Amino acid sequence: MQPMKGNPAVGAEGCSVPGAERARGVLVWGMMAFPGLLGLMALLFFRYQVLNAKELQAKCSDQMVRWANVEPERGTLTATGGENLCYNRPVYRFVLDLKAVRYPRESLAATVDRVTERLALFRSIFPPGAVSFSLSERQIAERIRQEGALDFVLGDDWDVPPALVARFAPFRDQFPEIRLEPAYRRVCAASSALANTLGRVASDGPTRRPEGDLDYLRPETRGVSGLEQVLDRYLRGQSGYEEIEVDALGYHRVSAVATEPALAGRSLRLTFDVPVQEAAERLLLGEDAGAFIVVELPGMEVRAMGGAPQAAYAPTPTEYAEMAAGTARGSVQDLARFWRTPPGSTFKMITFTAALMSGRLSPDATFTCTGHEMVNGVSRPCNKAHGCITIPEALAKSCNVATYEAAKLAGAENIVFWAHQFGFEEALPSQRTGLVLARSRLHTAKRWTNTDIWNLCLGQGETEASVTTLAMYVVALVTGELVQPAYVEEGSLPPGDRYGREARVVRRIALRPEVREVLLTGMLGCTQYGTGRSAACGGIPILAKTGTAQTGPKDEHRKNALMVALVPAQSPKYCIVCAIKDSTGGGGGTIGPRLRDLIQELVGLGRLSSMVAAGGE
Amino acid sequence: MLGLIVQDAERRHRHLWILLVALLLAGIGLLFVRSTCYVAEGFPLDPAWRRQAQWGLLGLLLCVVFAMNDFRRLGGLVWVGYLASVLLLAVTLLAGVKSNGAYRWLKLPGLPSFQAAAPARLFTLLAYAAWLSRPPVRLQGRLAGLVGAALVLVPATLIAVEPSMGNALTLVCACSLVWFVARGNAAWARRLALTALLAAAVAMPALGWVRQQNWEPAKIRAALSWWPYKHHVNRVVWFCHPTGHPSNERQIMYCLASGGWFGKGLFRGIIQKRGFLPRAVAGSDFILATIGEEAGLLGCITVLMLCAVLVVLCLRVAAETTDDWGRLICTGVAALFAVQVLISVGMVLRLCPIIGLTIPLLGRAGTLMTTAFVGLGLVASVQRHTVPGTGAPQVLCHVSPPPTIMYRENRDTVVIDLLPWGPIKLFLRLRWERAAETLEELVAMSTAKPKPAKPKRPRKPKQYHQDTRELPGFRDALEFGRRCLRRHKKD
Repeated sequence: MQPMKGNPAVGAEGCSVPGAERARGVLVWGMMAFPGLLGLMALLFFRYQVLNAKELQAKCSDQMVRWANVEPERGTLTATGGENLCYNRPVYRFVLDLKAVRYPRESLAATVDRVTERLALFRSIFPPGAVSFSLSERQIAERIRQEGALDFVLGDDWDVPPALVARFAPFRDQFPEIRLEPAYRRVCAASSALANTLGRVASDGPTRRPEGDLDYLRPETRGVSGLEQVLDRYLRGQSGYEEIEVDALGYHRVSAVATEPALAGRSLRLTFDVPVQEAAERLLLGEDAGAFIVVELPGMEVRAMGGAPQAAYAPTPTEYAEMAAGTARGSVQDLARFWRTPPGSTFKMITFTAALMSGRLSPDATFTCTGHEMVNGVSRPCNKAHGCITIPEALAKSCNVATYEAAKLAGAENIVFWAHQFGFEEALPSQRTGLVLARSRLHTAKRWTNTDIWNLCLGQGETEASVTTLAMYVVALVTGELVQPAYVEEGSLPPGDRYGREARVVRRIALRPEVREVLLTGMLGCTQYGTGRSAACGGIPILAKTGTAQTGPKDEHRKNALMVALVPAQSPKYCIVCAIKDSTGGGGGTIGPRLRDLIQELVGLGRLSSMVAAGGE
Repeated sequence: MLGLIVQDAERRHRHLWILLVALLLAGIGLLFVRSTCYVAEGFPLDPAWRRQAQWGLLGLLLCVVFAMNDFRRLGGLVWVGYLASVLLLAVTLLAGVKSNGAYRWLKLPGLPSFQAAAPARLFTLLAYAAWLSRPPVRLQGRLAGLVGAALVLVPATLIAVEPSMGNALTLVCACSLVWFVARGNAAWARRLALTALLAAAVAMPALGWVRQQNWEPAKIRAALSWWPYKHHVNRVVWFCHPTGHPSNERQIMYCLASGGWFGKGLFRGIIQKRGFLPRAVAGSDFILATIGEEAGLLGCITVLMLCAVLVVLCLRVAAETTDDWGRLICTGVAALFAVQVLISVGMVLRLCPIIGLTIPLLGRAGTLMTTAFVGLGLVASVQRHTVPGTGAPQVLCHVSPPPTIMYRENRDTVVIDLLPWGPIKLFLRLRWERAAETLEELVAMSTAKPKPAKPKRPRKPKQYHQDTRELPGFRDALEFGRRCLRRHKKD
């Protein structure tokens, strides 16, 4: 420091000599103090950058051994003919991996705040619109906070195109928090209705669970629903893990401390018959909304199943929201498994079974149908005045009056009992159970009124069933065994499994032979002279029953058409159940011709031999 | 010898030195700001560094304009600028752009957005310095002091309620130091320095003790619940818990620790590039942490040295100027710079909570950079126009063959350059308080016998040139020069 020289005290303009001297004294101290303070700070820099550098980094590295999941290869679903129904296509997806950049003891919110800032930078490396992120950075941050997940899949589409993978490759080291994760995309090669049943794939679904949507996908099974979700425990295999040591800042993998390999999932062969499935979709549903099931006896293997053909099976979140709001054209639900409709006249066989098995009605009893019946002072119509009519005729012609008379003989509780016996309200895996009006749900003092009995015996009102429930019931009527449908081929699952054949027989139903004969005669007459005449095809005997379910308010006159059928009648091989939602006609008029076409198609496909179809056996 | 050369050059061209150091700092800053805008090859570069460069160029231009002109010409414009800046601060509060909970930015039509606090600080300093040196209103005693205090506190309060505590704090501190230079003396300064040292000695262990207590954040928040700005409370909490919270302090430590001696290299600071140190502040408030990571200890110390040199140069101008206002301007500019540097470095070193200040000229803050350049331009103007001896030396004579050149360094000092050629020059600096035209005249004057006094003709007194007595040491120096001349003639 140079001493202040010069001669300033010369009375220069604007300079007070004593003030200048005094100021110089102060400034000299300032000139010494500031560099001195900076020198002290330089020592602190030395401490942090040299002396304590390793210790500081060690503070960060003490928890830098982290786990990483090793995803197993997922099993595939194939049809009986070996066709791929659901399989894995290796794809990449961008995953925001917060674990990779999370500091020890750092709160999730802080990590999210820090990382989401960089998402805009991440997007900027791609051409505009190349990566479909429907969520903004803020929305992503909110979702991560809500879900508390450390892994967040970026983008609506799992499938990152190879061009984007190549574009991202040079930047991988720059984005440790974004992982280009090899994953498997479930590709459902089946037709749309079956895909809807097997499971919608490639969709994350909505953020929140919509009210009443039972098909909502839980986070752990995103992209997997339907039967695939039911069978997920076989398909998904077992995850492995790696214990990874990373560097002090958590950026780079140093070594793998321990490794547990993943076990691949089991590939399953389903019972679906793809040609039958395609034919059933095309012929039974067409453009209508509804559901169908085709099962093969006696094993009750489901050969075809589907529903809601107009619904996209892989909806985007927007479509999903539209569906949940009811504004979409299609249904968000898989109608084959989750749609329940009143069974209508297909329920009448249970009513007659109850009456016949109770002994209060003999098989050769006759009824007189005048075309209407006074029930609690209200005239209830039949479809026509049948006159004197036997039980098989009543079944074939679907006479309401005769059924009501039989119901009054049987008693409501008896009908409910037999409905339970035939599988209504039987819990089915991955399916919605049926429902029978019960005393506990009666509206008037828990007592059965004639109106209740009228509704119950005709399968209207609160009694509901899915097509699967109806199929089980009809098959049980013929075979005497209530069997759960099988979706997986025998031998494809481990023995003793829930879906194995041992566990699928729910109960045996002992019907007296004369009762079964009466019922089957009635069902046979349905396609010969009854309401299902339109289903008759070339002399192929069919056991069938039509039904029309009244739904909605009376003034709207909405109805669902139903039909159950067993072909061939002598030795039933296929049980076909179809329900059309909001049909313009009844079950016979709407579904009958379609059923006929399907049976002919089955013959054409060789699933029904001409001899069998012709009744040769 | 080298010291003499440097000293001579520094004395004559101090304004250029100031500009050079400022440009160095700004250049280093721009380089590292660009580094914070850069992620990797192929990434789009954040244009913030370009804006910083534009603000820097504007500041440089203004700096040159102010340096070329006499600062005393500003005169009453200072007060106009002061009132305008206060008005801008008020407008900022009413119609400013809210960013991170603070109304700091002002967007006027046709202009880029800027922080009104930055020019307000400079104009307040200029006005306060003018008030202390030549108050336009004759007031005496406490009333004058109160008006002076109000001059500072009004804009400081407006800045504080933005809220921009860092800017308000630096303004008040800088004005306090200006007042201290204007009214204080060396004894006060000594006491202040000792008190500061004592306070630092007490504060450092106290700081360590506070951190060791590991107080619950909730308790700290409850204790500070009366403070209106929650983010300030959060900063205090993070300051008390730097290791337990993933705050920026923690990232700064990792930046510094990973830098080591020489850093990771320019554009290779992964901590800020990967967002651990947020990019929004990596180039501004924590530019030193970025430098520490990429340039290591060497870079940090270089920056600190440049800051120290710049402040010392400004203070030297303040010490040597002959103008009171100029002195206070230089002191204010230096104090503003120094306080901001101390706070900003203290932030990085965890000596104080995060306040939100950047190092002027270095960090990303366009308005601040421009006003810093303007301030330095004013300092250069003070140097050029009120410090004696500024500029190129005036050659008085060449004595040949003896290679002796006599310079008039300024009106008071004569330099005899004995070895004008060659890599090393020997300067003989003489304090000469009488104008001498040639070496011969100088020698004659020194050797002439005193003549009997004659009645002198009354001369018009010169303002800067007055005959005074000979200074001690002059004869010895002249003898030395003569010996050199004789030896040279013999050779």
